[in-house]
Amino acid sequence: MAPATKAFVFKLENTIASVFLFLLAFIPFVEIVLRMVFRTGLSAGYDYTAHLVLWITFLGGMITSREEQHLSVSVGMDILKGRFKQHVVTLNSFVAAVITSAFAVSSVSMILLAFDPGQMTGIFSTRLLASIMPLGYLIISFRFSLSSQLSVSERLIVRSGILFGVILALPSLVNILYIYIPDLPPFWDNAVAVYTLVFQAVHVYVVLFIAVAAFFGLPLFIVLGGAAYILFAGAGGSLELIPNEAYTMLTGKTIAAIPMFTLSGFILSESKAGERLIGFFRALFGWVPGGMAVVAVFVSAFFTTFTGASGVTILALGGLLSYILVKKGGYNENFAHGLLTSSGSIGLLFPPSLPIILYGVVAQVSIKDMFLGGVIPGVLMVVALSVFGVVAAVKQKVPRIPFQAREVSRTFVDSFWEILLPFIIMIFYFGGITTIVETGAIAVIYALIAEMLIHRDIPLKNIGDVFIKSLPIIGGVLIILAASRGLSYYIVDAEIPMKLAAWVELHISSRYVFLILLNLALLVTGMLMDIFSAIMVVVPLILPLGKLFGINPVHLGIIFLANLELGYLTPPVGLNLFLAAYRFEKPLSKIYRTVIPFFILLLVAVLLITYVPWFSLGLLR
Amino acid sequence: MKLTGKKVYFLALLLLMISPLFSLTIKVGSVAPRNSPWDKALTAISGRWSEISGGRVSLKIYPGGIAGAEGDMLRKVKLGALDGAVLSSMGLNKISPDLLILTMPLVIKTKPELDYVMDKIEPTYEKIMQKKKFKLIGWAMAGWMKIFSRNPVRYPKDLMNQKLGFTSGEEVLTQLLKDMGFRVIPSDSIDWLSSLQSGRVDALLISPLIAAAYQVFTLADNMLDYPISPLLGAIVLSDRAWRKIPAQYHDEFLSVVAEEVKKLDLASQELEGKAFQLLLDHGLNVTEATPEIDAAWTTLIEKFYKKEGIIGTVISRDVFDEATGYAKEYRKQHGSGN
Repeated sequence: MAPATKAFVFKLENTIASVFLFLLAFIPFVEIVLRMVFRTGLSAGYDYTAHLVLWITFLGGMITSREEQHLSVSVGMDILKGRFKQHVVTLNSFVAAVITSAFAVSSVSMILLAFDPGQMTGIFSTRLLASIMPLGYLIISFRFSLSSQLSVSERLIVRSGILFGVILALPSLVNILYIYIPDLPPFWDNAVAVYTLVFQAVHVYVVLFIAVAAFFGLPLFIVLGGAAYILFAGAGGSLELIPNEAYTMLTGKTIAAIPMFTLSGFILSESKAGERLIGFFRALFGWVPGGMAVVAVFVSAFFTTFTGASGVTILALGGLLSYILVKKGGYNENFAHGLLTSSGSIGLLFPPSLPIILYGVVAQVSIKDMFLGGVIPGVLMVVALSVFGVVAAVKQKVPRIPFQAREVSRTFVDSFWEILLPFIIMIFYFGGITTIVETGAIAVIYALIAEMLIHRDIPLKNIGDVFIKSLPIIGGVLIILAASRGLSYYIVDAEIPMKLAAWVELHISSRYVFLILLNLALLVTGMLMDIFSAIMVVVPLILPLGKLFGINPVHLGIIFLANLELGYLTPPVGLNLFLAAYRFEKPLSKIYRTVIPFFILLLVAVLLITYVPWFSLGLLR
Repeated sequence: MKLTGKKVYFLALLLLMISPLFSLTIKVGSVAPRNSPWDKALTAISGRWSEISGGRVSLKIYPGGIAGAEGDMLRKVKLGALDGAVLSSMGLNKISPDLLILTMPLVIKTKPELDYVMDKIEPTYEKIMQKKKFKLIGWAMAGWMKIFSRNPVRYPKDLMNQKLGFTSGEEVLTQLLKDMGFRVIPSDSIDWLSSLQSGRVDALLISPLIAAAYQVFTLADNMLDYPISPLLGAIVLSDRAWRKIPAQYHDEFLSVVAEEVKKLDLASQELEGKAFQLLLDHGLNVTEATPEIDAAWTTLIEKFYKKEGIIGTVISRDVFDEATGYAKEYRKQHGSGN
């Protein structure tokens, strides 16, 4: 591509994605205003925001590819050298191109099969709105061949992967052909039959290969989505399920909160808000040993509580808090990153966390009891991390500054608008005035007003850059979430949890053995599944087992959620680890190391919560 | 084509795969929780189908929404990843808005009326479904939608002054309620409690069973005991899956479903009764529907239905008139609507 064309295409992508990101915040904002001023809201407002997230994900994913920022684990690469290493790079890019190209074909087939031609979303054709999925996957597939690590001939090899991807998607391809040529020659059906037989035989090996490649830099969304794709191919299932699950995930009711809180965090971190806040917190807490670490833990817990533990905390606040702890606080960087990564999902147990509400509904347990039950365990985890922070501060001889009332009031006035933000979010969300998505929109609009109009830190001409900077992260994270949902559904479809439950019922008789197995199983669940899927899939299975072993359903719920929290931190694939690697721009292997002491600490807390029912039930009596 | 050994093998396998001799598992998704009456009914249907077909056909049930919400399940049915689903108005709406008619406010007022109209309208609904490549195999009622509110509601004007929470993403019914003059706020079950607490929402249109499950009675402790609309569930298979079932079983299978659905109706009523008792135990204030209250609602809504709006554009006027015609017929045969 000529440099001028390339620049134009890049700019076009950036502009569309940024405008959509702005609309994503603006539409719910208008909805709130309309609701308050007039009697009613926007028609189809929810459908529009849902599809904006879809577009932002794929445009963001394209940008992530362009910038070569797809998240991957590359611990294995350290042991490879020279030409062999280069071959591995090429092979991975090739595999990535094959799988994303297959996703693209299956997306086309999914759109044609699942949406009627006349089906509308608001004033747009649903097919048109969904068309970004195949387009996005195709462009991402192509961009794997543009990697700067590849030579010209290697690029050609990778590019051929697009063709192999079409073959990998053969059943979807035949579905598409059937739509346009109803009397397709039997050759194609035979080909699908052969395809199914082949994959029945080899799918285990292919999945193993993908699992190994995962440690050598194969992008994570391809590992998760690709594994699901091959597993469905082996089971003779619909390959269209992978794009369908992505579509379902990305058009879900709360997902828009993720890009919005991420964006508002970026707006704050690109302005001088960080410095102002640090000034204030230092003045306020700098005299307490470990005060800053405690602030970081509390702020994270607080933020997670209303973002529903989707890892938003790390994305939105990680950069800022890390800056406070390391640059200003004098904490060692590894410690700070470990602390922030592990604080990224605590807070899940406090009201009004969405997972708790969802658990109450699924398990038919009183939501109020669940909230009460979560308080002590939640405090336990927060205190554990805080104490660790204080101990580390003392050990690392983090400097303390004397307390000065004048400095506190000066920095308070300075940072007033930023300090107000969490309270505004609290009032709107905890007060039930707005939904989580609308609250995210308010956060974005508020941050824009505070940093552009009040403080004038970000001039109008630069605001686009802030949006563009957030896009690779937003796209990178959402595309992983979308892919992981495909694997979750394979687990549902193959009835793996059911089989597990049946096995437990048959073989386990001790309550403690059951609880240990539950801990382990839930840790793995937390690693692999998003929390909302996990609640819907796993809770109905463990409830009867809990009853069998005489475990109070509230206690079981707290065990469940606390374990999932820890699962987010569990190497190698806990979600928080990826988000942290992204946010702190560190290799995953490094994040693994920094997180281990915190993981052990929280593991102890989780075990206490599991084996001492009082923590969960003390407030109920 | 020269048939080599390998090709013959593949073809034989292919035949086996598509042959009805092969045992057939019909995957059905449902949002009803495991062991709920709906789940039990599906399990019973599975058992009896299997018995009738000598183990050749059975259901594999995905309860509790594990196969996705209704819109998602419907897509999975179209993709062939599921063979069928239990759908409420939310999913039926996406097959065709005409299927919403029986769940529109006050089209149906009593259970016998519902049974009568359902029976009559079935051929029309069958045709609509068939056109979209679905097969309707059974209907059941899961309760009545009633108004739960923070302040007592008697007449339509009482509700018009309140903010009525209604599931987001359910555009047709939302628009319908808005057009009737109600102030509809999109609100999902997960936000109900906090929305009621803050006054973002004052009232909800839900069934007693759902009110009990989501514990909204703690805040919305007034109920108008007036059935606004029935909550319906339909068991729908893809046409493709239905045709895969050997035709010799079709009639027997359907009558089994009809029997189980009848039992399910009773179980649902019993469950709703229990839920209602629970609500009363928690101090729910019940406003009885007097003839005046009924008349006020009926007048408002019937007047609305006469106007062109959603009916006539999104929902077919013909199908609407057909359904309401049957309801009138029933009322004429059995005295008044109440």
